[in-house]
Amino acid sequence: MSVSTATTAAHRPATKPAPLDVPPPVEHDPELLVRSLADWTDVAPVEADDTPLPPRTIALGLAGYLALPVVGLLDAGGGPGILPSAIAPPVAALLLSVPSLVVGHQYLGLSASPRDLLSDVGRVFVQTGRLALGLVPAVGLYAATTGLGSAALIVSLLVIGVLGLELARRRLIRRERAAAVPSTPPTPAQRLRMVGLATAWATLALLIAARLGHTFVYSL
Amino acid sequence: MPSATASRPRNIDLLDTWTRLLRQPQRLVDDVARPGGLTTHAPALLAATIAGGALLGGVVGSHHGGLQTLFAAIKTPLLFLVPPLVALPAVEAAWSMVGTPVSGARLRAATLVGMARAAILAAALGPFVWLWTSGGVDYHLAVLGFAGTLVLAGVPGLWTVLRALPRPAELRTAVVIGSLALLGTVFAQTGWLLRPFVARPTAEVTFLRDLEENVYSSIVTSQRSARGRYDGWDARKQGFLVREKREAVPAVPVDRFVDPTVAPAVEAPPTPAVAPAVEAPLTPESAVETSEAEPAESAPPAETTPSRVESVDGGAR
Repeated sequence: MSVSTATTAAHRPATKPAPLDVPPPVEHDPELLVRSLADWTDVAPVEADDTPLPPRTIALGLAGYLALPVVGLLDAGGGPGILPSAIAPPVAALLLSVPSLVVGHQYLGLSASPRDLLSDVGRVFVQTGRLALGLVPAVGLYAATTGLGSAALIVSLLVIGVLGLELARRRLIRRERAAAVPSTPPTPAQRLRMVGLATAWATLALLIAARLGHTFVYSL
Repeated sequence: MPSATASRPRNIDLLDTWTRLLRQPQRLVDDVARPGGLTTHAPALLAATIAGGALLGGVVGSHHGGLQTLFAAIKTPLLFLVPPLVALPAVEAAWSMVGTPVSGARLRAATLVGMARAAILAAALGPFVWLWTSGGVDYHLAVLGFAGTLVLAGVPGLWTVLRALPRPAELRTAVVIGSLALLGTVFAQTGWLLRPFVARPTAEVTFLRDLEENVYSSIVTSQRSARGRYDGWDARKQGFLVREKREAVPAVPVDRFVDPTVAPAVEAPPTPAVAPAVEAPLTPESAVETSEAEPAESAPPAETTPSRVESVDGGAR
């Protein structure tokens, strides 16, 4: 008796019309899809640091990209060409990918100044170079006392590359947002355009660095 | 009388600093980071680190007893002091990279307080470790106890350091986890370099072992040993420092081969049968090439054999 009552109660809601809070199918609403995608890939607003970097900081950043491979390769064999091949991935990734970023940015008709974009990318490059310099003692410890100096160098360069590109991607998106005209907030499609451009640029730079890193690893 | 009144505040300060280490570490970091705070508090904090580490080290070294107790008591404070020195430049750069620069004074203060707190907690755990190891536990369990104590004491110390630093503006998880991973790997390798803390009962007591292999290969070997397989540990000397030392040692007694009496080749032209490959290293250059190509064979046995035997029997696993 009780079972039949429960069954009846269970079946009853199914005969009712669907509740009103069920969202409509997303695929039928392209605007909502674009807005969701833009929200998902967008970055949180953080106060931009536009203070010019002092020459000492720039020099330390660039020195980091040189010092880290030198120290990491202390215990590795190999010929004289091994050091340039370790320095090449970050430098070449920057030099080869930035023109694509600027050209793509202008081609898509986005608002930020190319000079600001270059400034953001350069700032991140210097800051990640300082991280490389900070990692020199740890990598040096492994190179001096174990045979893992090259492995520590590869892991360090990988971490620096991924963190740096993600940081640069975020700053580029913020730069575009700050450059937009305040009275007319960008549409989701416009936001998505810059997010897509920055993400594509970061992926391109990562692939270039990975290709050169592959050569470096096999030269060890 | 003046000397008594002068010495009393110093004692109170020492105890006060140690108490604040446990009760108000963040306020202590603020105090140490102020101008002049480092010179005021650094002696007490360093004393806490050295005393706490030495106590735990002595307890752990007493598992073997004798001179090992002293050696471990001397080395264990270095376990707390060295890793921050090596890893903190990267931590500072990581925080700066994400737009949250940390002042050097605050970073030093946080590090000093964090490691002193960890050392004090380690000292407090020391008696428990002693009770456990004095009950006759074997070498592997004593090592586990030491490692577990370091983890238990180290986590609050690390937490103190991270809480004292400003919250990263972005990529917070990556920066914090990356900093912890870096500190952890440097700590592990430092511990490996400073071994043995718990010497094997049959091992000869030494202050430090040779530079060979690394902490990760030792973990793999330990796992193999735990399964009862004691083969496969080929402790090779690696690293830049060791390679330098190995190159400095004359691997082949070159003078023995550069013998003028071995030059009758002028009188008797070598026939194909009289030109074996073994006689090739007649010149110093070719002898050096041979020594680099085959270091295991060319190195003097007195250099390699003892270290390898020592590492197998002496607690490397």
